[in-house]
Amino acid sequence: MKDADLKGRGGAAFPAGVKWGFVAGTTPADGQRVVVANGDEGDPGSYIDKHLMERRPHLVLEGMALAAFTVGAQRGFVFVRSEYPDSLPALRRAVAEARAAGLLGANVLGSGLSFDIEIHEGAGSYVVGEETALLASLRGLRGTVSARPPFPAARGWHGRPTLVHNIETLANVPFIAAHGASAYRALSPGATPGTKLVCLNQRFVTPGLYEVSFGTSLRTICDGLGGGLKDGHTLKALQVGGPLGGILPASLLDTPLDFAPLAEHGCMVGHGSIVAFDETTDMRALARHLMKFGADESCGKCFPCRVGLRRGEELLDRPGPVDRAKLEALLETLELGSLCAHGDGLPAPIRSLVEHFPHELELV
Amino acid sequence: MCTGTACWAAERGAALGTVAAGLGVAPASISDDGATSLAPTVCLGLCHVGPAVRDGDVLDAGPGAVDRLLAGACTRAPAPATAVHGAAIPPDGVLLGADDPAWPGLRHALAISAPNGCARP
Ligand SMILES: Cc1cc2nc3c(=O)[nH]c(=O)nc-3n(C[C@H](O)[C@H](O)[C@H](O)COP(=O)(O)O)c2cc1C
Ligand code: SF4
Ligand code: FES
Repeated sequence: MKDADLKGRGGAAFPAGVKWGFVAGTTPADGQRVVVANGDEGDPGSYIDKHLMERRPHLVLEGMALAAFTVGAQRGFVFVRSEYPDSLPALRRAVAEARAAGLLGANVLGSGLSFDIEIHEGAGSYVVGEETALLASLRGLRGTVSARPPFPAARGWHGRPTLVHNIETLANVPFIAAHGASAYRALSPGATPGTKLVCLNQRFVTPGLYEVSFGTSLRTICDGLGGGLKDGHTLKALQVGGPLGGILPASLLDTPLDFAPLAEHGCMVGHGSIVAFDETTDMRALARHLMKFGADESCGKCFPCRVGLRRGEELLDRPGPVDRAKLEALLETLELGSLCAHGDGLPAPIRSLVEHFPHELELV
Repeated sequence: MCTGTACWAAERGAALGTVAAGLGVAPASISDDGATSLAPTVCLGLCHVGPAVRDGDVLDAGPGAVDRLLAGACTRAPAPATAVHGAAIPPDGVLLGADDPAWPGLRHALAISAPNGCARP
Protein backbone atom coordinates (compact mmCIF):
# COMPACT_ATOMS: atom_id res chain seq x y z
CA MET A 1 0.00 0.00 0.00
CA LYS A 2 2.86 2.40 0.73
CA ASP A 3 4.48 1.62 -2.65
CA ALA A 4 1.17 2.08 -4.45
CA ASP A 5 0.90 5.53 -2.83
CA LEU A 6 -2.89 5.50 -2.88
CA LYS A 7 -4.02 8.98 -1.81
CA GLY A 8 -7.27 9.25 0.15
CA ARG A 9 -10.16 10.23 -2.14
CA GLY A 10 -12.30 11.79 0.62
CA GLY A 11 -10.76 15.21 0.11
CA ALA A 12 -7.56 15.48 2.12
CA ALA A 13 -5.44 13.13 -0.09
CA PHE A 14 -3.66 11.61 2.90
CA PRO A 15 -1.55 8.55 1.88
CA ALA A 16 -3.60 5.47 2.76
CA GLY A 17 -0.55 3.23 3.35
CA VAL A 18 0.75 5.61 6.01
CA LYS A 19 -2.64 5.65 7.76
CA TRP A 20 -2.74 1.81 7.67
CA GLY A 21 0.70 1.83 9.32
CA PHE A 22 -0.59 4.06 12.14
CA VAL A 23 -3.55 1.77 12.85
CA ALA A 24 -1.50 -1.44 12.56
CA GLY A 25 1.11 0.00 14.91
CA THR A 26 -1.32 0.65 17.78
CA THR A 27 -1.55 -1.65 20.80
CA PRO A 28 -5.21 -1.56 21.88
CA ALA A 29 -5.82 -3.12 25.30
CA ASP A 30 -8.46 -5.53 24.00
CA GLY A 31 -6.76 -6.09 20.63
CA GLN A 32 -9.79 -4.65 18.81
CA ARG A 33 -9.44 -2.40 15.78
CA VAL A 34 -12.15 -1.05 13.50
CA VAL A 35 -12.48 -0.15 9.80
CA VAL A 36 -15.06 2.46 8.81
CA ALA A 37 -16.07 3.22 5.23
CA ASN A 38 -17.19 6.82 4.87
CA GLY A 39 -20.23 6.75 2.57
CA ASP A 40 -21.58 10.10 3.68
CA GLU A 41 -20.75 11.70 0.30
CA GLY A 42 -22.28 15.08 1.01
CA ASP A 43 -20.50 17.21 -1.61
CA PRO A 44 -23.18 18.80 -3.78
CA GLY A 45 -22.36 17.72 -7.33
CA SER A 46 -20.88 14.36 -6.36
CA TYR A 47 -22.38 10.94 -7.11
CA ILE A 48 -19.22 8.84 -7.20
CA ASP A 49 -19.64 6.92 -3.93
CA LYS A 50 -23.35 6.48 -4.68
CA HIS A 51 -22.45 4.64 -7.86
CA LEU A 52 -19.81 2.51 -6.14
CA MET A 53 -22.10 1.58 -3.23
CA GLU A 54 -24.99 0.70 -5.55
CA ARG A 55 -23.16 -0.85 -8.52
CA ARG A 56 -19.88 -2.10 -7.03
CA PRO A 57 -20.64 -2.90 -3.39
CA HIS A 58 -18.43 -6.00 -3.44
CA LEU A 59 -15.44 -3.93 -4.53
CA VAL A 60 -15.94 -1.60 -1.54
CA LEU A 61 -16.46 -4.46 0.96
CA GLU A 62 -13.46 -6.37 -0.44
CA GLY A 63 -11.34 -3.24 0.05
CA MET A 64 -12.53 -3.06 3.67
CA ALA A 65 -11.67 -6.72 4.26
CA LEU A 66 -8.18 -6.22 2.81
CA ALA A 67 -7.68 -3.23 5.10
CA ALA A 68 -8.94 -5.20 8.09
CA PHE A 69 -6.68 -8.13 7.21
CA THR A 70 -3.67 -5.82 7.05
CA VAL A 71 -4.22 -3.66 10.15
CA GLY A 72 -5.73 -6.40 12.32
CA ALA A 73 -9.34 -5.19 12.58
CA GLN A 74 -12.30 -7.38 13.52
CA ARG A 75 -15.25 -5.04 12.93
CA GLY A 76 -16.26 -2.88 10.04
CA PHE A 77 -18.98 -0.32 9.39
CA VAL A 78 -20.19 1.37 6.26
CA PHE A 79 -21.75 4.73 7.11
CA VAL A 80 -24.26 5.47 4.33
CA ARG A 81 -26.01 8.81 4.02
CA SER A 82 -29.77 8.66 4.32
CA GLU A 83 -30.16 10.62 1.09
CA TYR A 84 -29.20 7.44 -0.81
CA PRO A 85 -32.10 5.04 -0.20
CA ASP A 86 -30.85 2.63 -2.89
CA SER A 87 -27.33 2.32 -1.46
CA LEU A 88 -28.39 0.64 1.79
CA PRO A 89 -30.10 -2.43 0.29
CA ALA A 90 -27.32 -2.88 -2.30
CA LEU A 91 -24.67 -2.97 0.43
CA ARG A 92 -26.75 -5.18 2.73
CA ARG A 93 -27.31 -7.68 -0.08
CA ALA A 94 -23.57 -7.76 -0.84
CA VAL A 95 -22.74 -8.31 2.86
CA ALA A 96 -25.16 -11.25 2.96
CA GLU A 97 -23.61 -12.73 -0.20
CA ALA A 98 -20.10 -12.32 1.20
CA ARG A 99 -21.08 -13.99 4.48
CA ALA A 100 -22.65 -16.88 2.57
CA ALA A 101 -19.45 -17.26 0.53
CA GLY A 102 -17.31 -17.37 3.70
CA LEU A 103 -15.68 -14.02 2.86
CA LEU A 104 -17.02 -12.29 5.98
CA GLY A 105 -17.57 -13.62 9.49
CA ALA A 106 -15.47 -15.93 11.65
CA ASN A 107 -12.38 -17.56 10.14
CA VAL A 108 -12.59 -16.03 6.63
CA LEU A 109 -11.79 -18.73 4.03
CA GLY A 110 -10.08 -20.78 6.76
CA SER A 111 -7.43 -18.07 7.27
CA GLY A 112 -7.98 -17.53 10.98
CA LEU A 113 -9.05 -13.94 10.18
CA SER A 114 -12.41 -12.85 11.54
CA PHE A 115 -14.02 -9.75 10.15
CA ASP A 116 -17.62 -8.68 9.74
CA ILE A 117 -19.33 -5.55 8.45
CA GLU A 118 -22.45 -3.64 9.54
CA ILE A 119 -24.26 -1.18 7.29
CA HIS A 120 -25.29 1.97 9.16
CA GLU A 121 -27.68 4.67 7.90
CA GLY A 122 -26.77 8.32 8.52
CA ALA A 123 -29.21 11.06 9.45
CA GLY A 124 -28.74 13.85 6.92
CA SER A 125 -25.86 16.18 7.69
CA TYR A 126 -23.02 17.44 5.51
CA VAL A 127 -20.46 17.82 8.29
CA VAL A 128 -21.03 14.24 9.50
CA GLY A 129 -18.79 13.34 6.53
CA GLU A 130 -15.92 14.71 8.64
CA GLU A 131 -14.37 11.71 10.34
CA THR A 132 -14.69 12.67 14.02
CA ALA A 133 -18.30 13.79 13.49
CA LEU A 134 -18.96 10.55 11.59
CA LEU A 135 -17.61 8.43 14.42
CA ALA A 136 -19.72 10.39 16.93
CA SER A 137 -22.84 9.84 14.82
CA LEU A 138 -21.98 6.14 14.44
CA ARG A 139 -22.00 5.86 18.25
CA GLY A 140 -25.41 7.56 18.47
CA LEU A 141 -23.99 10.92 19.57
CA ARG A 142 -24.63 14.32 18.01
CA GLY A 143 -22.81 14.68 14.69
CA THR A 144 -20.37 17.42 15.66
CA VAL A 145 -16.63 17.68 15.07
CA SER A 146 -13.99 17.00 17.75
CA ALA A 147 -10.47 18.40 17.89
CA ARG A 148 -7.71 16.13 16.55
CA PRO A 149 -5.45 14.71 18.00
CA PRO A 150 -6.41 12.17 19.04
CA PHE A 151 -6.88 11.01 15.47
CA PRO A 152 -9.31 8.16 14.80
CA ALA A 153 -6.32 5.96 13.93
CA ALA A 154 -5.35 6.18 17.62
CA ARG A 155 -8.74 6.62 19.31
CA GLY A 156 -11.83 6.19 17.16
CA TRP A 157 -14.99 4.12 17.47
CA HIS A 158 -15.52 3.62 21.23
CA GLY A 159 -11.87 4.53 21.82
CA ARG A 160 -10.51 1.82 19.53
CA PRO A 161 -7.96 2.44 16.80
CA THR A 162 -10.11 3.08 13.73
CA LEU A 163 -9.21 3.24 10.08
CA VAL A 164 -11.59 5.68 8.34
CA HIS A 165 -11.56 5.74 4.56
CA ASN A 166 -13.63 7.18 1.82
CA ILE A 167 -15.62 4.66 -0.28
CA GLU A 168 -13.64 5.35 -3.47
CA THR A 169 -10.32 4.97 -1.62
CA LEU A 170 -11.37 1.50 -0.45
CA ALA A 171 -12.54 0.56 -3.95
CA ASN A 172 -8.95 1.05 -5.18
CA VAL A 173 -7.50 -1.52 -2.76
CA PRO A 174 -8.56 -4.82 -4.45
CA PHE A 175 -6.73 -3.85 -7.67
CA ILE A 176 -3.56 -3.10 -5.67
CA ALA A 177 -3.84 -6.44 -3.84
CA ALA A 178 -4.41 -8.42 -7.02
CA HIS A 179 -1.98 -6.67 -9.40
CA GLY A 180 0.61 -4.96 -7.22
CA ALA A 181 1.88 -1.44 -6.67
CA SER A 182 3.69 -0.93 -9.96
CA ALA A 183 0.65 -1.94 -12.05
CA TYR A 184 -1.36 0.52 -9.94
CA ARG A 185 1.10 3.36 -10.44
CA ALA A 186 1.13 2.68 -14.20
CA LEU A 187 -2.57 3.63 -14.41
CA SER A 188 -1.58 7.31 -14.35
CA PRO A 189 1.88 7.67 -15.95
CA GLY A 190 3.87 10.55 -14.47
CA ALA A 191 1.05 11.63 -12.18
CA THR A 192 -0.65 10.65 -8.91
CA PRO A 193 -1.05 6.84 -8.93
CA GLY A 194 -4.31 5.06 -9.73
CA THR A 195 -7.40 6.26 -11.52
CA LYS A 196 -9.92 8.90 -10.52
CA LEU A 197 -13.65 8.94 -10.93
CA VAL A 198 -15.01 12.35 -11.86
CA CYS A 199 -18.66 13.26 -12.24
CA LEU A 200 -20.17 16.05 -14.32
CA ASN A 201 -23.31 18.05 -13.62
CA GLN A 202 -26.48 18.57 -15.62
CA ARG A 203 -25.12 21.55 -17.61
CA PHE A 204 -23.00 19.26 -19.82
CA VAL A 205 -24.17 17.67 -23.07
CA THR A 206 -23.17 14.22 -21.76
CA PRO A 207 -23.02 14.48 -17.99
CA GLY A 208 -21.92 11.28 -16.28
CA LEU A 209 -19.35 9.40 -14.31
CA TYR A 210 -15.95 9.01 -15.95
CA GLU A 211 -12.89 7.03 -14.87
CA VAL A 212 -9.73 8.85 -15.95
CA SER A 213 -5.99 8.88 -15.30
CA PHE A 214 -4.67 11.61 -13.05
CA GLY A 215 -3.12 14.31 -15.18
CA THR A 216 -5.95 14.30 -17.75
CA SER A 217 -6.72 17.91 -18.61
CA LEU A 218 -9.99 19.42 -17.50
CA ARG A 219 -10.54 20.41 -21.13
CA THR A 220 -10.46 16.75 -22.17
CA ILE A 221 -12.89 15.92 -19.37
CA CYS A 222 -15.28 18.82 -19.98
CA ASP A 223 -15.21 19.11 -23.78
CA GLY A 224 -14.19 15.57 -24.77
CA LEU A 225 -16.12 13.45 -22.28
CA GLY A 226 -18.75 15.97 -21.23
CA GLY A 227 -19.27 17.26 -24.80
CA GLY A 228 -19.22 20.90 -23.63
CA LEU A 229 -22.31 22.65 -22.31
CA LYS A 230 -25.80 21.95 -23.61
CA ASP A 231 -28.21 24.20 -25.51
CA GLY A 232 -25.42 26.36 -26.96
CA HIS A 233 -24.30 27.66 -23.58
CA THR A 234 -20.67 28.46 -22.92
CA LEU A 235 -18.62 27.67 -19.84
CA LYS A 236 -17.98 30.50 -17.40
CA ALA A 237 -16.31 28.59 -14.55
CA LEU A 238 -16.03 25.20 -12.86
CA GLN A 239 -16.11 24.21 -9.24
CA VAL A 240 -13.93 21.11 -8.85
CA GLY A 241 -13.90 18.85 -5.82
CA GLY A 242 -16.93 19.97 -3.83
CA PRO A 243 -18.10 23.05 -1.92
CA LEU A 244 -14.72 23.56 -0.24
CA GLY A 245 -12.92 23.57 -3.61
CA GLY A 246 -11.87 26.68 -5.48
CA ILE A 247 -13.54 27.91 -8.66
CA LEU A 248 -11.61 27.72 -11.91
CA PRO A 249 -12.48 30.23 -14.66
CA ALA A 250 -12.98 28.80 -18.16
CA SER A 251 -9.69 30.42 -19.25
CA LEU A 252 -7.79 27.86 -17.10
CA LEU A 253 -9.46 24.77 -18.59
CA ASP A 254 -6.12 23.32 -19.72
CA THR A 255 -5.19 22.65 -16.07
CA PRO A 256 -4.55 18.91 -15.48
CA LEU A 257 -6.72 17.06 -12.99
CA ASP A 258 -4.15 16.44 -10.26
CA PHE A 259 -3.36 17.74 -6.81
CA ALA A 260 -0.40 20.06 -7.47
CA PRO A 261 -1.61 21.77 -10.69
CA LEU A 262 -5.05 22.49 -9.25
CA ALA A 263 -3.54 23.79 -5.99
CA GLU A 264 -1.58 26.35 -8.05
CA HIS A 265 -4.93 27.94 -8.91
CA GLY A 266 -6.39 27.69 -5.40
CA CYS A 267 -8.39 24.60 -6.39
CA MET A 268 -8.35 20.94 -5.40
CA VAL A 269 -9.18 17.47 -6.71
CA GLY A 270 -11.33 16.98 -3.60
CA HIS A 271 -13.72 14.12 -4.11
CA GLY A 272 -13.87 14.61 -7.89
CA SER A 273 -17.12 16.41 -8.62
CA ILE A 274 -17.06 18.90 -11.49
CA VAL A 275 -19.84 21.48 -11.48
CA ALA A 276 -20.02 23.76 -14.51
CA PHE A 277 -21.56 27.23 -14.44
CA ASP A 278 -22.68 28.70 -17.75
CA GLU A 279 -22.30 32.26 -19.02
CA THR A 280 -25.64 33.34 -17.51
CA THR A 281 -24.48 32.62 -13.93
CA ASP A 282 -24.42 35.60 -11.56
CA MET A 283 -21.22 35.07 -9.54
CA ARG A 284 -22.45 37.19 -6.63
CA ALA A 285 -25.46 34.89 -6.38
CA LEU A 286 -23.10 31.90 -6.52
CA ALA A 287 -20.98 33.32 -3.68
CA ARG A 288 -24.16 33.85 -1.63
CA HIS A 289 -25.37 30.33 -2.43
CA LEU A 290 -22.07 28.82 -1.23
CA MET A 291 -22.00 30.90 1.98
CA LYS A 292 -25.61 29.95 2.71
CA PHE A 293 -24.76 26.29 2.19
CA GLY A 294 -21.82 26.66 4.58
CA ALA A 295 -23.85 28.47 7.23
CA ASP A 296 -26.79 26.04 6.99
CA GLU A 297 -24.52 23.01 7.33
CA SER A 298 -22.10 24.31 10.00
CA CYS A 299 -22.07 21.87 12.92
CA GLY A 300 -21.87 24.81 15.34
CA LYS A 301 -18.97 23.50 17.39
CA CYS A 302 -16.67 26.49 16.84
CA PHE A 303 -17.75 30.12 16.55
CA PRO A 304 -15.64 31.33 13.59
CA CYS A 305 -17.61 28.97 11.36
CA ARG A 306 -20.95 29.03 13.19
CA VAL A 307 -21.12 32.84 13.28
CA GLY A 308 -18.72 33.75 10.48
CA LEU A 309 -20.42 31.89 7.63
CA ARG A 310 -23.79 33.44 8.52
CA ARG A 311 -22.17 36.91 8.60
CA GLY A 312 -20.63 36.10 5.21
CA GLU A 313 -24.02 35.20 3.78
CA GLU A 314 -25.48 38.46 5.12
CA LEU A 315 -22.60 40.48 3.70
CA LEU A 316 -23.30 39.11 0.23
CA ASP A 317 -27.08 39.12 0.58
CA ARG A 318 -27.41 42.82 1.33
CA PRO A 319 -27.95 44.65 -2.00
CA GLY A 320 -25.18 46.97 -3.17
CA PRO A 321 -21.40 46.95 -2.98
CA VAL A 322 -19.45 44.61 -0.71
CA ASP A 323 -16.66 45.96 1.49
CA ARG A 324 -13.65 44.00 0.23
CA ALA A 325 -11.53 44.51 3.37
CA LYS A 326 -14.36 43.29 5.58
CA LEU A 327 -14.97 40.23 3.41
CA GLU A 328 -11.26 39.36 3.35
CA ALA A 329 -10.95 39.77 7.12
CA LEU A 330 -13.88 37.41 7.52
CA LEU A 331 -12.32 34.84 5.17
CA GLU A 332 -9.04 35.03 7.07
CA THR A 333 -10.82 34.53 10.39
CA LEU A 334 -12.55 31.45 8.98
CA GLU A 335 -9.26 30.06 7.66
CA LEU A 336 -7.31 30.65 10.85
CA GLY A 337 -9.92 29.98 13.50
CA SER A 338 -12.07 27.08 12.32
CA LEU A 339 -11.79 23.70 13.96
CA CYS A 340 -12.31 21.68 10.77
CA ALA A 341 -12.06 21.96 7.00
CA HIS A 342 -15.71 23.04 6.69
CA GLY A 343 -15.07 26.52 8.08
CA ASP A 344 -11.52 26.77 6.86
CA GLY A 345 -12.32 25.41 3.37
CA LEU A 346 -15.35 27.48 2.44
CA PRO A 347 -13.27 30.62 1.88
CA ALA A 348 -11.49 28.88 -1.05
CA PRO A 349 -14.30 29.25 -3.62
CA ILE A 350 -15.07 32.76 -2.35
CA ARG A 351 -11.40 33.72 -2.77
CA SER A 352 -11.52 32.38 -6.35
CA LEU A 353 -14.56 34.55 -7.08
CA VAL A 354 -12.84 37.58 -5.50
CA GLU A 355 -9.80 36.95 -7.70
CA HIS A 356 -11.50 36.18 -11.00
CA PHE A 357 -14.85 38.02 -10.80
CA PRO A 358 -14.31 41.07 -8.50
CA HIS A 359 -16.68 43.31 -10.49
CA GLU A 360 -19.53 40.83 -10.34
CA LEU A 361 -19.08 40.61 -6.58
CA GLU A 362 -19.29 44.44 -6.49
CA LEU A 363 -16.24 44.67 -4.26
CA VAL A 364 -15.20 48.14 -3.14
CA MET B 1 -35.90 19.06 -2.76
CA CYS B 2 -32.26 19.32 -3.58
CA THR B 3 -30.82 22.80 -3.13
CA GLY B 4 -27.23 21.70 -3.83
CA THR B 5 -24.83 23.55 -6.10
CA ALA B 6 -25.25 21.29 -9.15
CA CYS B 7 -29.03 21.73 -9.05
CA TRP B 8 -28.55 25.43 -8.37
CA ALA B 9 -26.40 25.64 -11.52
CA ALA B 10 -29.26 24.02 -13.43
CA GLU B 11 -32.18 26.14 -12.23
CA ARG B 12 -30.93 28.69 -9.64
CA GLY B 13 -33.18 27.42 -6.90
CA ALA B 14 -36.46 28.13 -8.71
CA ALA B 15 -37.86 24.62 -8.28
CA LEU B 16 -38.08 24.86 -4.48
CA GLY B 17 -40.47 27.82 -4.74
CA THR B 18 -42.59 26.01 -7.33
CA VAL B 19 -42.87 22.95 -5.11
CA ALA B 20 -43.62 25.00 -1.99
CA ALA B 21 -46.42 26.84 -3.83
CA GLY B 22 -47.74 23.64 -5.39
CA LEU B 23 -47.87 21.76 -2.10
CA GLY B 24 -48.94 24.76 -0.04
CA VAL B 25 -46.13 23.92 2.38
CA ALA B 26 -43.24 26.31 3.09
CA PRO B 27 -39.70 24.92 2.83
CA ALA B 28 -38.55 23.24 6.07
CA SER B 29 -42.10 22.93 7.38
CA ILE B 30 -45.03 20.55 7.54
CA SER B 31 -48.66 20.90 6.40
CA ASP B 32 -51.37 21.58 9.01
CA ASP B 33 -52.74 18.05 8.66
CA GLY B 34 -49.26 16.64 9.21
CA ALA B 35 -49.44 14.66 5.96
CA THR B 36 -46.83 16.51 3.90
CA SER B 37 -43.46 17.95 4.79
CA LEU B 38 -41.04 19.79 2.53
CA ALA B 39 -37.35 19.53 3.34
CA PRO B 40 -34.61 21.28 1.41
CA THR B 41 -31.58 18.98 1.26
CA VAL B 42 -28.03 19.32 0.06
CA CYS B 43 -27.59 16.76 -2.70
CA LEU B 44 -29.43 13.62 -3.75
CA GLY B 45 -26.65 12.30 -5.97
CA LEU B 46 -28.60 13.00 -9.16
CA CYS B 47 -26.53 16.02 -10.13
CA HIS B 48 -26.34 14.75 -13.73
CA VAL B 49 -30.07 15.38 -14.22
CA GLY B 50 -31.00 18.07 -11.64
CA PRO B 51 -33.16 19.52 -10.25
CA ALA B 52 -33.52 16.46 -8.03
CA VAL B 53 -36.46 15.59 -5.79
CA ARG B 54 -37.25 12.75 -3.42
CA ASP B 55 -40.67 11.44 -2.48
CA GLY B 56 -40.41 8.69 0.10
CA ASP B 57 -37.66 6.44 -1.19
CA VAL B 58 -38.09 7.37 -4.85
CA LEU B 59 -35.50 9.76 -6.29
CA ASP B 60 -36.62 11.65 -9.38
CA ALA B 61 -34.88 14.39 -11.34
CA GLY B 62 -34.78 16.41 -14.52
CA PRO B 63 -37.51 17.65 -16.87
CA GLY B 64 -40.97 17.03 -15.45
CA ALA B 65 -39.71 15.93 -12.02
CA VAL B 66 -41.39 18.82 -10.21
CA ASP B 67 -44.72 18.15 -11.96
CA ARG B 68 -44.49 14.45 -11.15
CA LEU B 69 -43.68 15.27 -7.52
CA LEU B 70 -46.74 17.52 -7.22
CA ALA B 71 -48.89 14.83 -8.87
CA GLY B 72 -47.54 12.20 -6.45
CA ALA B 73 -46.19 10.28 -9.42
CA CYS B 74 -42.39 10.35 -9.10
CA THR B 75 -40.43 7.85 -11.18
CA ARG B 76 -36.86 6.70 -10.65
CA ALA B 77 -34.33 9.01 -12.32
CA PRO B 78 -32.05 7.40 -14.93
CA ALA B 79 -28.59 6.26 -13.80
CA PRO B 80 -25.69 8.39 -15.06
CA ALA B 81 -23.74 7.44 -18.17
CA THR B 82 -20.36 5.90 -17.36
CA ALA B 83 -17.18 5.61 -19.42
CA VAL B 84 -13.49 4.88 -19.01
CA HIS B 85 -10.98 7.26 -20.64
CA GLY B 86 -7.22 6.85 -20.92
CA ALA B 87 -4.76 4.57 -22.71
CA ALA B 88 -3.17 3.44 -19.42
CA ILE B 89 -6.43 2.12 -17.93
CA PRO B 90 -7.91 -1.33 -18.75
CA PRO B 91 -10.93 -0.91 -21.09
CA ASP B 92 -13.44 -1.84 -18.37
CA GLY B 93 -11.75 0.44 -15.86
CA VAL B 94 -10.59 -0.31 -12.34
CA LEU B 95 -13.52 1.25 -10.50
CA LEU B 96 -16.29 1.10 -13.13
CA GLY B 97 -16.73 -2.35 -14.75
CA ALA B 98 -18.64 -5.32 -13.33
CA ASP B 99 -18.77 -6.13 -9.61
CA ASP B 100 -16.98 -9.38 -8.67
CA PRO B 101 -18.51 -11.17 -5.66
CA ALA B 102 -15.56 -13.63 -5.54
CA TRP B 103 -13.15 -11.03 -4.05
CA PRO B 104 -10.05 -12.15 -6.00
CA GLY B 105 -7.81 -9.49 -4.40
CA LEU B 106 -8.58 -10.77 -0.89
CA ARG B 107 -8.06 -14.41 -1.95
CA HIS B 108 -4.69 -13.51 -3.43
CA ALA B 109 -3.62 -11.57 -0.32
CA LEU B 110 -4.65 -14.43 1.96
CA ALA B 111 -2.76 -16.92 -0.19
CA ILE B 112 0.53 -15.03 -0.04
CA SER B 113 0.61 -13.72 3.54
CA ALA B 114 -0.09 -14.70 7.13
CA PRO B 115 -3.39 -13.57 8.70
CA ASN B 116 -3.14 -10.11 10.23
CA GLY B 117 0.51 -10.23 9.27
CA CYS B 118 1.14 -7.84 6.40
CA ALA B 119 1.94 -4.61 8.14
CA ARG B 120 2.55 -5.62 11.73
CA PRO B 121 5.81 -4.38 13.23
C1 LIG C 1 -16.88 19.13 6.34
C2 LIG C 1 -16.24 17.86 5.91
C3 LIG C 1 -16.99 16.93 5.19
C4 LIG C 1 -16.43 15.74 4.78
N1 LIG C 1 -17.19 14.88 4.07
C5 LIG C 1 -16.66 13.71 3.65
C6 LIG C 1 -17.46 12.77 2.93
O1 LIG C 1 -18.64 13.00 2.66
N2 LIG C 1 -16.88 11.60 2.53
C7 LIG C 1 -15.57 11.31 2.83
O2 LIG C 1 -15.10 10.24 2.48
N3 LIG C 1 -14.80 12.18 3.50
C8 LIG C 1 -15.32 13.36 3.93
N4 LIG C 1 -14.53 14.22 4.65
C9 LIG C 1 -13.12 13.83 4.94
C10 LIG C 1 -13.06 12.91 6.17
O3 LIG C 1 -12.90 13.70 7.33
C11 LIG C 1 -11.86 11.96 6.09
O4 LIG C 1 -10.71 12.72 5.85
C12 LIG C 1 -11.97 10.91 5.01
O5 LIG C 1 -13.14 10.16 5.12
C13 LIG C 1 -10.76 9.98 5.10
O6 LIG C 1 -10.80 9.08 4.04
P1 LIG C 1 -9.64 9.00 2.93
O7 LIG C 1 -8.32 9.00 3.68
O8 LIG C 1 -9.90 7.71 2.26
O9 LIG C 1 -9.79 10.19 2.07
C14 LIG C 1 -15.07 15.44 5.08
C15 LIG C 1 -14.32 16.37 5.80
C16 LIG C 1 -14.89 17.56 6.20
C17 LIG C 1 -14.06 18.53 6.98
S1 SF4 D 1 -15.48 24.59 11.29
FE1 SF4 D 1 -17.76 24.56 11.27
S2 SF4 D 1 -18.27 22.44 10.82
FE2 SF4 D 1 -16.10 22.45 11.50
S3 SF4 D 1 -16.14 22.17 13.74
FE3 SF4 D 1 -16.25 24.37 13.44
S4 SF4 D 1 -18.48 24.80 13.42
FE4 SF4 D 1 -18.27 22.61 13.07
S1 FES E 1 -26.66 18.90 -6.22
FE1 FES E 1 -28.76 18.33 -6.53
S2 FES E 1 -28.65 16.18 -6.77
FE2 FES E 1 -26.58 16.73 -6.41
